Amino acid sequence: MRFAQEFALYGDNISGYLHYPKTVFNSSIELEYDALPPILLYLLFPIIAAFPYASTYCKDKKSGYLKNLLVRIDRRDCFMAKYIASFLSGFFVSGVILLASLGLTMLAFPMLIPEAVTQNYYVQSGNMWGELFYTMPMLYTLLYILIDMLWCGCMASFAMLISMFTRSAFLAVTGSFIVFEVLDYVLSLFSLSQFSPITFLRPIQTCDGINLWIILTEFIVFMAASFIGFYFLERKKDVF
Amino acid sequence: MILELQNVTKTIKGVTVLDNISLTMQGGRVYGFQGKNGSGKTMLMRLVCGLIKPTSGQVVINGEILGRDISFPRSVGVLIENPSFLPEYTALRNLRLLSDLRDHLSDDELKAALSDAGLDPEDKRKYRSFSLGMKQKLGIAAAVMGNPKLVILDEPINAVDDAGVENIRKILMRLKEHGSLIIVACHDREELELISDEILKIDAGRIVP
Repeated sequence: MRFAQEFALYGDNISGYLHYPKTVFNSSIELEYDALPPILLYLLFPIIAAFPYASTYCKDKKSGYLKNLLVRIDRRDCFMAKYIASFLSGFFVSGVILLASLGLTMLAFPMLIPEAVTQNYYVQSGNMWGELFYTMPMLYTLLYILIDMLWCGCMASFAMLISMFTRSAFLAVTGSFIVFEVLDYVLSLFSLSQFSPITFLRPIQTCDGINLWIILTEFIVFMAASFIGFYFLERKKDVF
Repeated sequence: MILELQNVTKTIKGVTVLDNISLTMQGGRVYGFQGKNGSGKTMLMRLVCGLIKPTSGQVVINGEILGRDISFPRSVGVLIENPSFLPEYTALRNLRLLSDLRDHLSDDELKAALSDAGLDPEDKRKYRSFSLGMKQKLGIAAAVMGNPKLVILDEPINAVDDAGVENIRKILMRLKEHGSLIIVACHDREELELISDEILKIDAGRIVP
């Protein structure tokens, strides 16, 4: 169906298009460029990551269930467990989505080694790990998925930090999304999009200047902020 | 079990809700707290179980300072305000989850706690479908399971029928004989006099004669 639509669209002007097939490395959701699903997925990752667990702390506070916990286990253990659980929920929920997408794409498309000259791939050789993409694309994809999983864990943990300030489960889940979207917008105003997690999480690297140091440094900063806030400050607060 | 409040004051946003309270309470007795709404009863209970910290003074339980040596009393059962459990689980499963956090009670002990509180241990209904009275009974069961040394009950007979109130009396008497220190706040003065060994009046955050 799609082939027929594309043929109808391009007609005779098919040079270089139909001669090179769709492959795993330009069709899986991580590595597609202009389709709506990957744009939406990476845009909504902060919500998807926070959705499974981040609201539980708000709900526990609001319902009073937190009191049941805090008279049975040490506060340090309770807050540490919640922090780790939120990180792992974000980590695994993104992992399931990205790995399932990759796996399903592998069932449908060939795993051809990418060739830059065909201009059918969106990763540029000058991008971070660009050469790795054109030599060992599966390793590149898996490494990037690992980065995405770690960052989604971080976003879920950051949502726990936000849940310190609200009893609304909705705000706890969407707060992280709002913060990262605002950050993305502000950074783009100053042409610093390479510093925005929303941008650098996409394996196709939609802007120049992304490197591993930026990704890791920001990861540590956001993790530290959420850990200090949630574990050190929130656990010392009174519970009513 | 000896519980001491030493010159405890709690101020929240500039308002003094507990004002220089000094008290000593012992195990094997029931202490009833009586006072108007907002007098500080619930706040005192939260303080004793470590949910809030005093602005000044300290709470000492068996020689250990709450908030410094321990973050909550070592053996405590609490029902403060509305009971809260996981809505998608049955009563037994909710108790098992909580018990696994600290006491690791057997299924028989958990079922006994439910029966004592007037609930059917084999009831397969989820907590979300419980009536107000059943929720309260489950709150009581959670507070007294495992015979804790310190039991704190805020308005335990709220929404409970006459048979349930009788069950609660029996539970409290059993815990008292077991040596537990029981603190109860109740708006029903007659009921409080019936179950308490000592009634403490609290007004504007102070214990009054």
